[in-house]
Amino acid sequence: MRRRAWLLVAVLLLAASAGLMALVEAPVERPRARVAFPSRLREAERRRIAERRTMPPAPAAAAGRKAPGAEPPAPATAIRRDPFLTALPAAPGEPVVVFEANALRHSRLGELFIRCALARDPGVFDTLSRETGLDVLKDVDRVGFAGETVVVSGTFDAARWERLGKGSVEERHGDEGRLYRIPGRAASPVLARWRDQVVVISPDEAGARQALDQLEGRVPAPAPVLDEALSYGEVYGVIPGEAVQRLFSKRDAELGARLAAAASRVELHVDAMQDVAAVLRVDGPDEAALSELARSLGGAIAAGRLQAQATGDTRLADLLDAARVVPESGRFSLELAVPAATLERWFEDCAGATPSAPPPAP
Amino acid sequence: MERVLAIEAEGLEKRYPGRLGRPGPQALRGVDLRVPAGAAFGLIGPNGAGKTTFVKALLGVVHPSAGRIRLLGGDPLDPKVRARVGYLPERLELSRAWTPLEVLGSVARFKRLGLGRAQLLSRLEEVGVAGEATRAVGGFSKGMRQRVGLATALLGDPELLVLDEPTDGLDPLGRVEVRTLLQRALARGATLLLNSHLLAETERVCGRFGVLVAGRVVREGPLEALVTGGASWRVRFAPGAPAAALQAAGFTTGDGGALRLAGGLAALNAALDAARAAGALVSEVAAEGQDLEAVLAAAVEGQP
Amino acid sequence: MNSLAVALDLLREARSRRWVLALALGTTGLLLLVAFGLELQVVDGALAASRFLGGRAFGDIRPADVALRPLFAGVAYAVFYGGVVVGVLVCADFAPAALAPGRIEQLLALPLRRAELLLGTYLGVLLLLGGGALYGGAGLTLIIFAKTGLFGWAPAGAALLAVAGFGAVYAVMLLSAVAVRSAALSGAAGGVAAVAFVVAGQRTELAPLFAAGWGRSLFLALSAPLPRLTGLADHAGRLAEGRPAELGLLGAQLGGAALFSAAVLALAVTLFDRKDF
Repeated sequence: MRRRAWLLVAVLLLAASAGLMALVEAPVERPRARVAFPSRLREAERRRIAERRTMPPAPAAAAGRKAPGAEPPAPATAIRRDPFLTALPAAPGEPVVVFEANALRHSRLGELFIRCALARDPGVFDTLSRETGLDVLKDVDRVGFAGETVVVSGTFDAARWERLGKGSVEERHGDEGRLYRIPGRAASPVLARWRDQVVVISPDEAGARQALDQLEGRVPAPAPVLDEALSYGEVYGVIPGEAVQRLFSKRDAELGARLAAAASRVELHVDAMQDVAAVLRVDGPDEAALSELARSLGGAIAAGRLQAQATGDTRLADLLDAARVVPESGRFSLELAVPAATLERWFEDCAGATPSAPPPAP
Repeated sequence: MERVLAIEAEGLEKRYPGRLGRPGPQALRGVDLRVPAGAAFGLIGPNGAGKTTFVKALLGVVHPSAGRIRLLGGDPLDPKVRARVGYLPERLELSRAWTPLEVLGSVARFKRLGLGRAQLLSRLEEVGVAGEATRAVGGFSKGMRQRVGLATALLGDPELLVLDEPTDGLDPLGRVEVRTLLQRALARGATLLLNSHLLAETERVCGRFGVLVAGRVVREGPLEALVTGGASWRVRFAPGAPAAALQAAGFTTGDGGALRLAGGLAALNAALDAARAAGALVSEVAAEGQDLEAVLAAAVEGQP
Repeated sequence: MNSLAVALDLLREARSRRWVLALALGTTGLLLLVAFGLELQVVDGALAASRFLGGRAFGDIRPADVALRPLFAGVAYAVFYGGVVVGVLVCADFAPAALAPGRIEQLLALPLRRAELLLGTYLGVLLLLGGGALYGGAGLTLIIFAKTGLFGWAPAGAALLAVAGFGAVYAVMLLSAVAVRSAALSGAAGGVAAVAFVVAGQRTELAPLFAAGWGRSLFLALSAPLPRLTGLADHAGRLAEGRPAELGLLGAQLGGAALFSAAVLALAVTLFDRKDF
């Protein structure tokens, strides 16, 4: 009995010790919101894909008609096509990334960004609209980058093209295509417009013409560089291994080189409607090298988090707080997230950017 | 009138814990013992019988597994009871850096005896180490350390003395001195529980004995009650004694050149008269089988 | 009262042990070395200039005091952590010696309770170390005063805080000695406890290193009742630098350390009470 009494006293004293010191101790970590990462096409995205297939199915490939160096033509199918994806050029070794501008405009990040921009210059968007006829907040649907080529889809019937390409000459190409180039300046980009739906900004004239030809079926379009099944999230794309290395600064060159050696393909998806959650899926030929790379990245994230906390870099600490590496069979995923509450904290200092109701669903 | 009991043990058992929670060896298997106040009680037994365990259980140094102990009418775990007890453990370790005066001073403080330096020195004088009172114990021989230990046990004239091998390491003269001290303590009314392998010493000091074998008290009482079998004598004659006459008188061959005669005192005297009448000269006569050694041997033999 | 008697006996034991005496002499030697060998030319110059100019130019500001803050803080941290380490080394043997065969039987037969014996040993060690810490801390205070003319209680204050922190460490050492009668193991337990208390002091910074889940929860749960040794050291440094003390935080940490020590001692008494010797 006496022994139990002493044991009870010991337990109570330990509890009292823990409680007393906990009263004055800083909390261990900020409460972290659970973030949902994009992992597959959602129903709304499937509907979106279906709605965008406004072009007739691809014609059968004509023998011998193949642009030099072009990808092999896609086989004939009965499925209608998305003009935006059709216009995206095949760019071997180049990253292809698409921004769902319209969805982003309605996302929490987009709202904060727009509010911030308006706070700095209330007339920024109106000025742009007056000058170019384009309301970037309403008319632009998607913006895609394939190497040095930019493809934009949306509704451009009110655009003043002459203002967009100052000094350029308009040339008709095909049935509904227009080219805008600056004569005598072969090195300057060339803008191609198809109907008032798709705009292609190509580094050269050949690329612009190729895009219009693909859209109008004069040349067979190569297989889409970005499969529709991958078009989930508000930002998505594919980055080949050799392009990965170019993303890193000199300071992180070694990390970039290791990543490129191990990763042949990086698939990117970002969900930004509420929290900003990014997933990079990394595939590579060597499973062992991928595993090593995954561990290295995990360690770098942990070290970066510690350093950010130690140096008071709250933004980086916030970004790395939810970061993690998830190994899968034959690949791994790198997840990065910024919860909506953190986003609002980031934009707090921007005048006029105050928390408000969530954006409408896409 | 019922005598007050200084030590009372009923059904005392002690099983030491084994490894990994399994039961270990059982040192005491139900010891019943009563030592009246003022008695000098000798506890004897073979090695491993449980004597030291019993002594430690009396003082709360080990906790009995079962049974009941009363010491001077009280609980051994009560500090007030232990203040009236003087204890000398079997294995004595004193702080090597302390002097005998410091050792005694420490015990005196705990027992709240309020003794001054002179009184402490007097105690050390009794045990024969007063001359080394201010020398560190670390330099003492075993016998000297034992004397200091005895002094601590006797400090304050305790009512009960529990001594475990008190003459261990002492020379024969030292043993005589210890015997004298113990008899003095008994004379003032103290109770003594003595545990010693030196059976002759135990027999000289104690009046009652308990034989502990395999964790049980198998015999208990005064020596006369413990001796078993008839009396016999060992007699030695000077060389030249007539063998036939000695045989006729009843002497038989014994150990070590001595002869043996069975029988009581009357038979002994009759046989000696007959031997002397036949011309034999008696050189030695001693009683046989009537000491603690024989009692212990008989007790151990009687165990399975 | 009996516990106090046990504590005083332990101090007598320490006095009698030559090597503890050697440690005291060593501390004195070190203090003398610091007293005669410590050159504070840079600080001397700053002090001289600031005394020459500071009082006139800055009114109530005491630049000399400011100039010495890093020195005081460094000394405070050295005294704190050095005190804990020395305590572990010096005091590892006291409890195992008292529990040694032949000695413990004598002690247990005396008219004192087992808990009193244990608590008296704990008290005696703390008194011993407290005395030594105060001796060293006060010595350093006097030396710095003699060298710089500035009187600061920082070294002595750090020494006392070190004793408070060591109290928790020694409670663990005592529990170890009761469980296994070994000076080496007791010393090792003290070392492990000191490290664990340092880790506990950094638990909020270290917790995010663990993956969220049962690992982090277990780490936080286990470290929750442990004294925050680094917190006490930081207080010592803080006081040394002349910054105001966060009394609430200091009180909570000292109180927590005391409660932890009491809990471990209660466990030790539980174990000791039922042990056979």
